[in-house]
Order: sequence, then structure tokens, then C-alpha cells
Amino acid sequence: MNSSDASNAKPDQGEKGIVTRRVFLKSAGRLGALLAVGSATIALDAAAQSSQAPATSPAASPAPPPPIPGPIVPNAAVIAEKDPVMKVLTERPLTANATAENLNDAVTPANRLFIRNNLLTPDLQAAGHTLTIKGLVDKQMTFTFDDLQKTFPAVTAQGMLECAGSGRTAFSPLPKGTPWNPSGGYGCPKWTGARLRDILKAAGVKPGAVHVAFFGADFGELPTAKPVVRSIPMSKALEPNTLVAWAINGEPLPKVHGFPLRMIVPGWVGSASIKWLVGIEVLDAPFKGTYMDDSYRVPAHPIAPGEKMPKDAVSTEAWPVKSVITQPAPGAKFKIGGKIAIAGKAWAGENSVTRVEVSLDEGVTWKQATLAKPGNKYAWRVFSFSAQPKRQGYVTILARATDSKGNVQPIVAAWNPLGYFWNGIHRVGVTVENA
Amino acid sequence: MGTGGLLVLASAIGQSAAVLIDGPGVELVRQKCSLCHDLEHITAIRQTREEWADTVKVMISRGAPITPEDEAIIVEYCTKYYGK
Ligand code: HEC
Repeated sequence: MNSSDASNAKPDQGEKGIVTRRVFLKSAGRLGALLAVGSATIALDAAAQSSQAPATSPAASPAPPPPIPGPIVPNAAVIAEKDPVMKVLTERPLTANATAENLNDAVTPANRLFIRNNLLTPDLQAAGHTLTIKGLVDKQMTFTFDDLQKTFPAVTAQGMLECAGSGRTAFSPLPKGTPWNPSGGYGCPKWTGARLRDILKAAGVKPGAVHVAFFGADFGELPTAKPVVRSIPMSKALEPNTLVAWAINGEPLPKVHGFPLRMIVPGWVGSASIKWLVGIEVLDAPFKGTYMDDSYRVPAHPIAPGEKMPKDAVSTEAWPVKSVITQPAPGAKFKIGGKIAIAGKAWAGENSVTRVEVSLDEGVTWKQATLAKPGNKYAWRVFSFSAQPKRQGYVTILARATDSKGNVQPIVAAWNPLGYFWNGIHRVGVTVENA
Repeated sequence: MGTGGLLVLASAIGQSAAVLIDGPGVELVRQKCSLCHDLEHITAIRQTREEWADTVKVMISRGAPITPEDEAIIVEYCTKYYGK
């Protein structure tokens, strides 16, 4: 590290809670040691320095950004390709979603699919992009983007993708993490790609293989930020709907959704569907890393709201049964004697949806909705119901789904410290006016 | 799309919109805790000292460049202003 930078730092502040120069030198030295590239060292030293200096010092002006490993797509360019109904929740990392009333399409358009980055959006090119399969395989293989499409049969299937934290702000007390609104953070486009199992078969899975890890090419602003890696059990890896995908609704993946290649692990938490896929590793145990061990975990047994994460937490996998009302929009107005056309979507992770019921009286009575024909195994199920409002005033519409294992959507989802798996009953309020 | 990504990065980095409560350690927290994400992650929640200590440890395992001395100051600051 460059010690002359550090000598600009203010000497001991002497106050409790304010860093001393000795501490600063030590931290700056450690930063320098963490980073190999000269310019990065200087940038971060400057950052460390401005954090110690009083606000009036010129050193407090924002540090120049450290260099990053490759080109990125700026947030503004990502958002410009999206439908204006998308709301940005956080800029760093970028997260955005459309709320339920804007997700009424049977197949979610790419420009309305939620965004959940963990790091920056890398600006990758298809030409020269490769995918390597390694670990417990008979032969390590590397495919170019073109080879992959030529070698394996292409499969197209509609499949649910939902962030683990979708609906998080419906939990009380509010858990930490991205503030997904009570209804958003999911979508069900059509994906095209190669079956992961075909690729694994080509490489030859060795005995003792139990998990398959996926590596994304995304990177953070900070060189030490951990890469995004997640593994899934072999049974799910071999499931015929688990895809290495290159298209969404028949089009190449948008850059923010993983161009040119991404995993699609349908029905499971979105974190399993690694974007910007560059590596697949077959393992004899679950991958160890921050996206396995720190995030995307839930208690194995229910805990009281507000309690801390117990020791026996487990990695998040399939979503539980859930439904949302996509029509009418909250606040819509209707006339007595007219009809309220109610529509929505229901899904159930590894199970299938067998029933959806609708209530217009806060759950006192329930009526069965009509289910559209089931699609692919992991496609959501469209439901509809026609209601005739009989009295004027405010009406709350509720929907609840039941799955093939008899699980019914709860009023409130089980509270957990990181706010995952919100599947509480969705409610939409409308007004009925005199004709 | 994607042209000049590196040039625009500087603006993508910028300061987080969230305003931290002023107090001892605020500059350190603003600097270190906005290296990877918006500061809303901090301002949106209330945690006990033990929970903040756990959170900061997790950030270190996620790659946050934080010395033990920084860690103590950050936990102190977060507990005082975003405690429960
Ligand atoms: C190396 C990058 C990095 C730095 C630096 C960092 N964080 Fe984080 N933080 C993350 C990641 C990754 C997540 C989880 C993904 C997300 O929600 O963006 C996260 C999430 C959080 C959350 C939400 C809860 C959770 O664990 O998911 C809180 C609270 C938080 N950070 C606080 C802090 C504080 C306080 C600091 C400063 C001491 C800090 N972070 C610095 C990477 C970082």
C-alpha cells in the first residue's frame, strides 16, 4: 500500500467511537494487502481515508471507483428495456418488480419479469462465451455458446421463477433484506435451453456426486465481494425441467436476466437459477459459500416472529403453495348489478395446484374459482372467478390455493429472520358504487 | 445497450440515497457499508447488539474489508442508532 496516502489522514481523534490513526494505518495496510492491482489499492486507500477524515477535509469527497473486472450494463440501460410498470426497489444491487395487477399475462413478458441482482449486471457477449462442467465427472467439458445449442436438444417449458424474498414486506416484524412489496418478485415466462441432465450425462457423473453447483460471471464493485454460487441436490439437477437456458419467450435472454446463459431451476427460490452461467461443478456435498450458508436459509422448525436464526437452519429450495390476484387492480371501482371479473395465478413449487377459492367477505365464505388447463409441470395455473357485488361499499377480494399434497395457503406465512417464502393469502380491495 | 459500461460505472456507484443518523462512527459506516449495497439495508431495520454483531460478521464473510477495530465501531454505531 501507499503509505504517503495514509499520512494525509487526521491524527488521533481521541474521541470514543472515532478511529485513531494507528487503527487507520492498520486497516489501510490490510486493504492494500487484500488487493493485487495498484490502482485498486489507491482507490480503496482513498476510500478508507475519507471515512476517517472530518467532513470538512478535502479527503472526504467521494473516492474514485475501484476498477472492475469487465464491462457492465448500467442500471439506466437495464431499466430502459423494461416496461414502465416496473418499480425499482434498490439500485445497488439492482432489484425491481411489477406488482400483481401488472402480471396478468398468462406468460410473463420478459420486460415485466422481476430483477434481482446480487452484484452488477455484466455486459457479456455470446461470441466466445463458454460453459465448463467439472468436478465429479468422467471428463471435464467446455462448451462454447454455439456448441451447447448444437450438441443438446433444445427444450421449451414455461417455468416459475420467484425470488426467495418475494413478498417480504408483508412479514411483521419486517425482516432484513430487499424490500419486495407484498405482491411482486415472481414471474412465469417460457424458457428454452438444454436439459442440465443431458449435459451431466455427456460429462458422466461419478459415484458419490450429490450436489451440483452453478457459477455466475457477475462481479461486484468491490474486488473482495464473494461470487454468486449456489448448489442444488442431484435429484433436482436431473429433473427434466431444470435447464441451462438461452432464451426467454423465444428471444435471447436480456442482459440483466443472464445473457447469454443462465440456469432455470423452476419452482425453486430464484437464487438457484444462477444468471450469467459460466461453470457447473458436480460435488460430493452442498457447496460452501455465502449464498448457501449466510443467505437463503430458513429455520428447520417454526420460530416466534422476531427470534434469531436457530442453529438448525436449512437452505431454501421449493416454494410452498401460493396464489395472487392479478385482476382487478387494487382500488378499482364497480357498479352494483355489474360483475367483477377476478383472475389470478397459483403455483406450488414441486406440487401441483388442485384448487383455488375466492372470498369476498374476509374469508367467512369461500367459492371455488375456475382453473385453466394445467400447463408444464412448473407453470403457474391461471384461475378466474366472476363475482356479482350485491351491496355498495368497500370489498376485499381474497384468494387461496390448495396443492396436490393437501397444503392450503395460510393467512400469514411462517415468520423467519430473512423473510423468505411469503405465501400468505393475497388481498385486493375494490369499491362497489350504486348503479 | 452496454456501451460505455465502464464509464457509467462511476455514476452507478454514487452515494446511497439513505441518510444515516449522524453520530460517532457514521462516516465509517457510510463508507464501508455502502461498498456493496445501498444503506437502506441498515436504515430499514432495528436489531439488538448481538444481531448487529452477527450481521457485520456475515458482511465480512461476504468480503467486506473491515478490521476488528472497524467492526467494533460499526456494531456500536448500528446498535445505538438502529437498535431495538
Ligand atoms: C462485500 C460486500 C458487502 C459489504 C461491504 C457489506 N455488505 Fe451487507 N450485504 C452484502 C450481501 C451480498 C448481502 C445479501 C444480498 C443482498 O440483499 O443484497 C448483504 C445484505 C445486508 C443486510 C440484509 C440482511 C442480510 O444479511 O441479507 C444488512 C442488514 C447488511 N447487509 C448490512 C451491512 C452492514 C452494516 C455493512 C457494513 C459493515 C455491510 N452490510 C457491508 C454484501 C456486503
